[in-house]
Amino acid sequence: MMNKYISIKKNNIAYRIINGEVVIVNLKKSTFHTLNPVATFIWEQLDGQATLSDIVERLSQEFEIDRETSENDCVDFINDLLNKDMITLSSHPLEKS
Amino acid sequence: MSKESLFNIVNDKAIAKRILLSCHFDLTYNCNTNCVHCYVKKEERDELKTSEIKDIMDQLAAMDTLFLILSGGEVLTRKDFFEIAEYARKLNFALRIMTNGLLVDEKVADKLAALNPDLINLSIYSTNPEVHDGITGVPGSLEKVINAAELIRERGLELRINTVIMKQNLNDYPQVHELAQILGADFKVDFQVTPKFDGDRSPLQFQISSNELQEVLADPLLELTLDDPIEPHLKRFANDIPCSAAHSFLYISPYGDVSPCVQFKVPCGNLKEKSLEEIWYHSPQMLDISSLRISKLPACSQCELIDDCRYCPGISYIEEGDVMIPARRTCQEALLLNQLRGEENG
Ligand SMILES: C[S@@+](CC[C@H](N)C(=O)[O-])C[C@H]1O[C@@H](n2cnc3c(N)ncnc32)[C@H](O)[C@@H]1O
Ligand code: SF4
Ligand code: SF4
Repeated sequence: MMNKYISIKKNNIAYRIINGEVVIVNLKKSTFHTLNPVATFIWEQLDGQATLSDIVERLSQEFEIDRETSENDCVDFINDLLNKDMITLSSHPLEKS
Repeated sequence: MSKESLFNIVNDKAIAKRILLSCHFDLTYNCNTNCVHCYVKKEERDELKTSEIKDIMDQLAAMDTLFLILSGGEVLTRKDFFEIAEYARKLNFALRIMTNGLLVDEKVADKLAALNPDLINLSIYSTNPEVHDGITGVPGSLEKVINAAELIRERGLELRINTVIMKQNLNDYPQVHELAQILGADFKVDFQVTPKFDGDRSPLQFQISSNELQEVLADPLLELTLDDPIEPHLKRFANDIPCSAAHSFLYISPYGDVSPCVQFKVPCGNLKEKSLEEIWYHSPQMLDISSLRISKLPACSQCELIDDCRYCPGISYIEEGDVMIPARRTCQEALLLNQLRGEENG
C-alpha cells in the first residue's frame, strides 16, 4: 500500500476546507464528516500525485512527529476513507485534468 | 452523530465566523406550470447567462460555500441546466435540486443520478390528481411527479417530498406522507404561504385558518418535519440569532440580485455589478441584517413564547414592512405551539 497513489473519489463526495478543517458530505451514503487539522492535512495530499509514503513523510515534517507515528496516523485514516468509499488507490499517478 | 446535528455544529461555526456555508440560487423564474400559490414573480430583465452563473459558482466556491440549493422557477426548463450542475459538481458543491418533476423521464433521471446530488426535492400537494393538478394547473402533473419520484428513488438518490399545506389540500398530507414512506423519501411540510416577490398578497387566500393551523400543529405526524437546518427559513433560532440568513446563507435570483433569503428579499447588490465578496462583506443592508439579534427586537425580547416561536425576519419584512415587528401569524403560531406543549407537559 505504501507505494500507491491516492486520490479522492470526487464523484462520490462534496467537500470544502473551511477554516483549516475539511467538511465532507458522502453523497453515496448520505453522511456528513468533519476532519481535524491532521486529517485535513492528509486529505489535502490526496490529489493522486503522491504515494502513501510521500504523504507519511510530509505529515511527519509538517507536524514534526516521528515517522512511525505519522505512518500509523496515515494508514488508519486511509483505511477509514477506503471503508467509506471516498478514495481510490492506484499504481500510477492520476493524470492531471 | 446524525447528519443534521453535525450540520448544525458546522453551521454554528460558520455563523460565528460569518462563512457563507450555504446558498440558495434560483437559476430561472421560468416554469412549465402555473401553481396557484406560487410566489415567483418574473420581471422583464435578462436572466443570468451560463457563463455568468459559472462565474458566480466560482466565487461561491472561493468563499467556502459547500451547500448549493438550485431552484426557481423550474430549473429543468433551462437548456443549460446540466452544464451548470455538472460545473457545480466539479467545484465540489453538495447540490440540492428543487424541481416539480414534470420533465423528469428516464434520461433526465440518469443525468440527475450522474450528478450525485445531496438531495432532490419534489413538491407533491396531494395524492388526489384533482387536488394536485388543481394547484399546479397542469392536468397529469401528479402522475408525472410520482413517476419522477420513482425514477429518482430507483437510482438510489436521496429524495425529499415537500408539501405546502393550504386550504385546497388541508386533509391530504397524511397520504402524501404515506407515499413518501413507500418511496423511501424524506417528508417535509410547510404551511406558511408567503406573498409574491412583488408584494402581491393573492397567494395568502390559500393560507389555512388559525383553527386549521391548530389542528395541523397538533398532529404528531408533523412534529419532526418542520425544521431544516440547511434552509434557514425552516429553522428555529439559536444563540440569539434569528436564522442563518446573512450569517452563513444568502439568496441569489436569476437576475443576479443578492438578498439574505428567498423569503427575505432585501436588495443587497447585483452580481452583474459587484462581486459576491463585496456584497457579503460590505453591503450595508447585508451587514445590517447580520447584526439582527432577538434580544434587540422590542416585542420578542420580552416575549414568553420565545421557545416556541419561529420568528422569521423575512416574513416580518414582507408582512409588516419591518424586521423588528413580529408578523401576526408568527405570534399566532407560537401561541398555538406553546399551548400544545403546555398540554403535553401538563
Ligand atoms: C418555488 S418552488 C421552485 C421549485 C419547483 N418548481 C417546485 O415547485 O418544487 C419551491 C417550493 O416553494 C413552494 N411555494 C411556492 N409558492 C409559495 C408560497 N407563496 N408560499 C409558500 N411556499 C410556496 C412550492 O410549493 C415549492 O414546494
Ligand atoms: S412548479 Fe414551482 S416554480 Fe413552478 S409555479 Fe409551481 S411552485 Fe412555482
Ligand atoms: S411570539 Fe411574536 S413577539 Fe413572541 S417571540 Fe415570537 S414573533 Fe416575537
